[in-house]
Formats: sequence, C-alpha cells, structure tokens
Amino acid sequence: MSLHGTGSTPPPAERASLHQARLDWVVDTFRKAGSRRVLDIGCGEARLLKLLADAPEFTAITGADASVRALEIADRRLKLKRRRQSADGRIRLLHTGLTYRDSRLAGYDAAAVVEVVEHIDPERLDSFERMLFGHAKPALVALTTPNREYNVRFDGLDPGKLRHRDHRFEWTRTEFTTWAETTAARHGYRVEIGQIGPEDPEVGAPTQQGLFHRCN
Amino acid sequence: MQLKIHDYGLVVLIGPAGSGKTTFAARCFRPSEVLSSDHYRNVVGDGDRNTTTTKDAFDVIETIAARRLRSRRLAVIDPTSVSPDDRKRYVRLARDEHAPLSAIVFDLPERDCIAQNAARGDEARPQHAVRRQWRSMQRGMKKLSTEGFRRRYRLRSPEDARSAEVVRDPLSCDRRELAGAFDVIGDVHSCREELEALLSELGYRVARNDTADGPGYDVEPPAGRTAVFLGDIVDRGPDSAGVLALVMDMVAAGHALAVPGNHDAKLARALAGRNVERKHGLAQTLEQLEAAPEAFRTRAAQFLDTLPSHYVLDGGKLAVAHAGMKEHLQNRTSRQVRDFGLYGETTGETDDDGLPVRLDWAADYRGRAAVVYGHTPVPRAEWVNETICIDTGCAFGRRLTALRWPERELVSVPAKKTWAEPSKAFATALQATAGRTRQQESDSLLDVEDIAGPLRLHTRIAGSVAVRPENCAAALDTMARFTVDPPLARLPPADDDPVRIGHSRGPARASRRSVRVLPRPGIRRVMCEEKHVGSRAVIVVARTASTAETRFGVESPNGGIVYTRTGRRFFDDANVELQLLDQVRAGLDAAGTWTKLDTEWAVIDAEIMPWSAKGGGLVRDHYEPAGAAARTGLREATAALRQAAAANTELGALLHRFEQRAEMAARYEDAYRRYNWDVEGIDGLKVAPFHLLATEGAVHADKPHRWHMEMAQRMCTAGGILTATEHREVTPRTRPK
Repeated sequence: MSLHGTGSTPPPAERASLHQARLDWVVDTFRKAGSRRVLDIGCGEARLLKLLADAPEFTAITGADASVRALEIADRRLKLKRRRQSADGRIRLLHTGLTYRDSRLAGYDAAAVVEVVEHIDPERLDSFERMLFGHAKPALVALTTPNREYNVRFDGLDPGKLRHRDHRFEWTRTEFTTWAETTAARHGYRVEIGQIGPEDPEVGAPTQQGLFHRCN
Repeated sequence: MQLKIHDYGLVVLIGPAGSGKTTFAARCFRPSEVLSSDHYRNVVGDGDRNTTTTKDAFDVIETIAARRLRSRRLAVIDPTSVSPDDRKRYVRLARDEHAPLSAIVFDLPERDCIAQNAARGDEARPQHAVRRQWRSMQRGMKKLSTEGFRRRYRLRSPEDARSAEVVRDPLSCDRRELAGAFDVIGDVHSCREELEALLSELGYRVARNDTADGPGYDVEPPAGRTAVFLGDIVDRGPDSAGVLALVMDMVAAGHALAVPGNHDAKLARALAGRNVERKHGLAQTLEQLEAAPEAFRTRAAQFLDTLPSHYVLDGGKLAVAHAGMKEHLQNRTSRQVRDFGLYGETTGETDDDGLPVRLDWAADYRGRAAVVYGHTPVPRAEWVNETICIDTGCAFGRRLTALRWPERELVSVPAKKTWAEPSKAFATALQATAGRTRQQESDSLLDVEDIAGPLRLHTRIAGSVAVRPENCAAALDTMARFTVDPPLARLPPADDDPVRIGHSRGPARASRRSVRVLPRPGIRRVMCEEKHVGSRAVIVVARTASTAETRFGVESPNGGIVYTRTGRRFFDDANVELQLLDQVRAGLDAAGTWTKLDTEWAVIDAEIMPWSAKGGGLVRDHYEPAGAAARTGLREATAALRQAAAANTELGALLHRFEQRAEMAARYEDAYRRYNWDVEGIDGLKVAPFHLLATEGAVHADKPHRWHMEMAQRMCTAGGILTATEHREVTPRTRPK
C-alpha cells in the first residue's frame, strides 16, 4: 500500500536502508528467476517500480494500488506522461482493491508484495490470498512483512506497539511461517522463508520474506 | 420471390454496379439499415473515388455495422462485394458479433447490368468496370456456399430484383413471445421412469402410446404450462428410446421445448453415420436404439438436428441452455454460441478423466435474464447471480430436478437406482459441501470490474443511477482499505434529511420551530426526535453466531458486526463489540422482533454515545487544546486586568470584554464536554437505535417513522446500554400568509 516505507519506527536512516534492502532483494530475486512480466502489488509511490523500470530485462511492469493519491504520485515519479507520448507501454499503473479479484493482474511471471499484508485487516486476508494466489496466480511471489519479534530492538517503540499506525497486525517468525506455508499449500505454491536486514541471534532480522513458487 | 432473412443481422448484397442493389435496398429496407459506399464516400471524402477515401468509407461502414449488430439491428451492406476477398471482412464481423449472415446475389445477365448502369447518367461507372465486376462475381460464385453465409438468395433477372420481397423472421432461439409458465427439466440421461414420475409430480398426464414406428406418448400438460428440456436427454440411463420418444412427442405436440446437450449432439453425429467415440454411455444408447424401428432412429436424428442452441423466453427474462449462456451470447447465433450451449466455458485443457476442464462462467454472470442450465451435476440446485444449474445427477443415482418458472420453485424426484457410476470429477462435484452456498462463495470475493466506473446501476425505486468514474475510484480507495467484510456490510445507513433547528432549548420548542421552517407543503404529521450527539453506527446482529455464518457466509464469532458510515469497524476491541451485540440481541428478544418479523437477523441504524468513543480524536486534537488554551490564557489575562482595573478605572471596559470571552470559552468547553465522558469497555456506552433498516426478506424503508420509533422503544425496554430516543408527533399549523 501507499504507506510502505513511511513507518514511524525505526529511525529514518536505518528505515531507509532497510527499505532499500527489501527492494534490492525483490529486483535481485526477479532477475535470478528470469522474470519478464512483473507486478508490484501495493506499489505505493513507485519506489520499486522505478528500480524495475531501470532494468531493461523487465518487459512489462505493472503497479497496482488502492490509493488514487499514491498512484498520482507514482505517475509523476515514473514520468508516465512522457512515456505514453513515446508510446512506451511497458509500465502501467492500476487502481484496484487488494481484496478484489482483478482479471488485469493475471498472466505475470512475478509479483512483489512489499510491506503490504500487514495493512490488511486479518479477516480480509483470505480475500487477499484468493485474489493473489487464486486469481492473479503469478509464477513467483516475493513477499515481505515486519518481524514483530524484532520490535524490542527499536528504542522509540513502546513494548507491544506496532511499527506503524496503519499496521493491522505484525507477525512473529512462527506466525509468518505458518501463514505462508498454509497459504502456499492451499493455492498450489511452495514457499521459502528468509530474512532481510541485520540478523539478531535472539529475535531475528527486522524484516521477514517469503518467496512463493507456483507448482506446475 | 420471398427472401427470408432474420430480424437482425448482416445482409450482404452481392452484385456489380448496375445490378439493381441500391434500388432493391431502398425498396426493401429502412434507409438507416442500408450502408452504402457512395454515401460514406461522400461523408468521409466528399465523394472522391480514390483509394484512401474508399478504404475510409469501408472502415466506417464496418464500424457502423458492428454497432448495429451489437444492438441487435439489421445492417445491409450495399457495396459490390463481388469477390470472396471483399466479403471476408463481413463474414468475420458477423462471427465476432454472433449475428446471422445472409447474402443476396444479384446474378443478372451482363448486358442487363451494363444497360442499367448506363441509364444512371452521371452516376454511371465506366463500362469496363462493370464487366470486370461481373466476371469477378461469376468466378467467386462457386465458393459462396462455403464462405459462411447461412442464407443465400440469387436474383437472376431485373424482374426478380424488382419483385423480390424481404420477409423477416426471428432467430430460432428467440421465443421471447412465450410468456410461460414453464417447467424447466434438468439432464434426464435416459431415466425414463424418473422423468415420467417428475412430469406427473408437475401435473402432466403422461400416457404411453406406441405405434409401428416405435415408442410414443400422449401427454396432457397442466393448463398454460410448457415443459423445457435442458438437453442430455440420452446416455447413461436405461431407456434412451423411451425418453427420446417422450421428449419428441411433447415437442411435436407443442407441450415442450428442448435444447440439445453435448450427449445429444454426439448421438446425432453417430446417427448421421459419423465416426464418434462410443464413450460416456453412447454405446449403450445406440444399443437401446437398435431395438427401435429404423423410422424411429431417422426421426430422432432429424429431431436432434433441428434443436436450437438455446432459448430466450418470457420477454427476455429467462434464458435456457444445456451448459449455460453468457449475456453477450444470449439470443444470438454463431459457432461459439452453439458450443457454449453444449459445453459451457472450458479452458481447453482436460482433466484426469479426459473431460474438459470447465470454467465457472456463472460466477461472473451479471446479465439481466435468469439462466437455467444443466450439464454439470451438482449436489443441490442453487441460484448464483441469477443463474441456476438443475442437473442433480439423476443417472448417478441422485435426483431429477425441475424448476417452475416464473414461480422459481424446485421440484424433484429421486433416482430409482444408480444407473451409471460418476467419473472422479463428477463424484467430487456431487459431494455436498456444508457451509457456504454458491452465492455466498461467489460474493465472498468481489470483482473490481463490478465497481470500476463509470457505473450505471438499475434500481427498482430510483430508476437508473449513474456513478462517475472518479467517484467509483474514491469509493474503492476507502472501501478497499477499511471496509468490513462485504457480506457483513449489509446496508449503508440511510441518509439524514435534517430540518434547520432554531436557537431554543428542549425538544418541544425546537420541534415547533423546526416544523415551521419545514419547506414541504402537504405534510400533515411530523415526527420529531431528540438529536443525539454521538457517532452513527450500523449494527448487524444475528440471533446466534452460527446463524450469522450460515446466513451471511462469513465467519462471525461475534454473531454480527458494528460499523461506521464509511463501512469501517466501529470498535477496535472485538470484546466490546461482542458485549454490545449481546445487549442489542437482548433488546430484540424483549421487543419480540425475531418472531414478529420472522427473522434470524436484523440491521439497525443507531447512534452510539458518547461522541468521544469514536470522535475522540477530534475532541482530543482540536476542541480540548483550543478550550484549554482559552481557559488558561483568559484566566491569567482577566486576573491581570482586574488588578490593573483596580488602579485604572478606564480599563473596566476591557476587563468586561475579557470576562465575556472567558465566559464564552467556558460555554465552548461545556458544549463539547456534554457529549464526552469516559468509557471503560462497554461501561458508559449508550446505544440509541432509531431505525430498523432490514430483517430477513425485507428492507423497512417503506414503514412509517412511527413504526421504527415503536420498534426502537420496545427494544429499549431491555435497558442496559440501550437508550430510548425522545420523540413526538406534531401536526404542523398552516403558515399564515
């Protein structure tokens, strides 16, 4: 969603580098997988899209977000007006709800879901899963979300608090692994779990990631 | 000579210049139906005959023709179209628009064309052009029958062209004039005894009447009713001949309509001597038919050949087809329409049993006609998006089902035995699943296309409502991020239409004043109610948690939900919501609403107080800082002024002004504090219900205000957090002129 990357904690510098690490991980993953047609679910203001746009191997890049405002900013940042004039249809922005099925999201090699799931109400997660893994069905999904256990390492964060006002939840490593494995199994994917950011021996890294591969 | 064409579709006039096409078209069609190249050459290029203008004129003609076909109108193509290459684009156009395609060939002797062309004076084309066109047409004539023109007519002389009459008839699927009533019967699959039992259950009198030509039936339907067979009448079951005889005789007597199923179509091919795989029961069927006389088989083959892909009935309100029919294919004709009717929508892949993988077209159906179909066995017939599959697997030992239209009643009889073992996929499909209905399943994940603008909503009471794209986008923006699960968001709160209230205290005086300003003539009684200052909430409450789940198809441990005007969950704490819902439930128990309205759930419009419970942010971030700053600042200022005024009396006026401001600031604080108090969990909350929005089968917008207030009043006798709303009815005095 539009709010990713603007979390209130950790401190700005650390936050920026952590977010950069997440985006680098996505681009790197897509490259290694040889993905061509890529999707950014909850693209926000297009920070990831810009990185993807700079890499010529991605032949179709689509950003989807629920926020009209974020998409307007993304449109400007990507200079889409000029691209449209030069008939470069490589980058596209879509306004969509993340809990609605959308036929325009089908047929992609890979999708990024960076710091998005935690903005969805737990009772709507099922719809999000069905939209992404059941209908859009990209061959690869690179997903990141906060590791709640790491919150104790942030100074400014009161115990028990979440990192951002709009976060509807944050998962521990076990919770995330359980969710990812159940979801993958239900929709015919397999998943590898990993971490992003400096790893703490006790509470892990600040960000956790799941890489979902579609079977068949 | 009579030329029969369909009442809509594409008609291509084929003939060289001078063959009389334009004269014929002007006589037999409306001007708006005829698309002439001369006319559009004028429109796009002032009549120039160069290549660019000609190409542009033809593109415009094709565009217009496509639009006319889409709205089920006739389009007559007037340009020469003498070669197969010229005609290709029209064949493709008709196919893409699923429209019938006819050709009328002006095959006049060459000298007649030359003479008639010469008679056009200035308009005449050069003679060599006419000759070239004539020869080109002759060369292409042989292949015309293979090009895809369903109806072809040939006019051989100027007299033919002058006297031929065009007659328009509807497509064979177009039976909108039949108003019913209908008994639509699912896949029979040769289960004769079950079919007889079902027909008699439906009130048909069925008597066997065999002749030398094979099995036969006399059937007497109930008055005003027609049976509709949804296809797959043969295969799998024990008596294909008997079922075929019954269906054929009912159709012949005008007591039934029938559409073909994929099994019937395959049998027709086998009977026509074509080589088909004798799988899925076909071998048995052919064996059963061997016992009948040759004449019966011939008749069956002819019968199956004439069945239309689907029917549209009852003024367009009902469509029937074996495997269903998408809206844009209804009442149209093409290979794709036929295939959809027979097989539905398939992915092109096959499953482990070699059966095509089927797509759930019904999940996306948004058409206005109800679609009744069969083809895929289902454990129970259920409506989903105005479509219903009534193949309940009779041959597999389940039931044979009929839908009565327009009553929408389901009638079914059990199978006598398991006549055939279902394949693995069908066995799974037939497994009854508990829990969500198909409609609930379909509703549980909305499609963004349904809410992307511009939207035109057709409503029962407000006609058609247009929603602009930017408004749709704004709604999606909010809804997608904050809205409660859509199946639980039953209704938005009704919008207020408040009257202006004057400066007076107490409900009675306020109401007198308000009624005076009420600008509506002809209002005799006015309900005045106390204005609560809290937060508006919609309360969806089911009698128990499990009724919420079965009725709404979502997990709802609290047995309902409380949400705001914008569809956001009202309480962050699920436990507070649970306790509130329990008290509302107790209120509905006390009011006897469940039994009185025969419902297991209710949607209530209410005000939840204090205001600070939800609007806390506004008070804390805006009102309180302003109030505190004013109070503190003015206290210090007045104190200082008072001291100074003791020494200098001239400052009295300034002191007085500051004292007044301090008094105003205090009143400001009072004003918002009245509506704010501390709440701990549910303690301190007040809920004032004032409108019963909906219960099972009813939206109560049609009830008088008094009814709603009485319902609310009765609920509030349960006490607890439920708070009655003071109200009174007044009769406005006519305003003195």
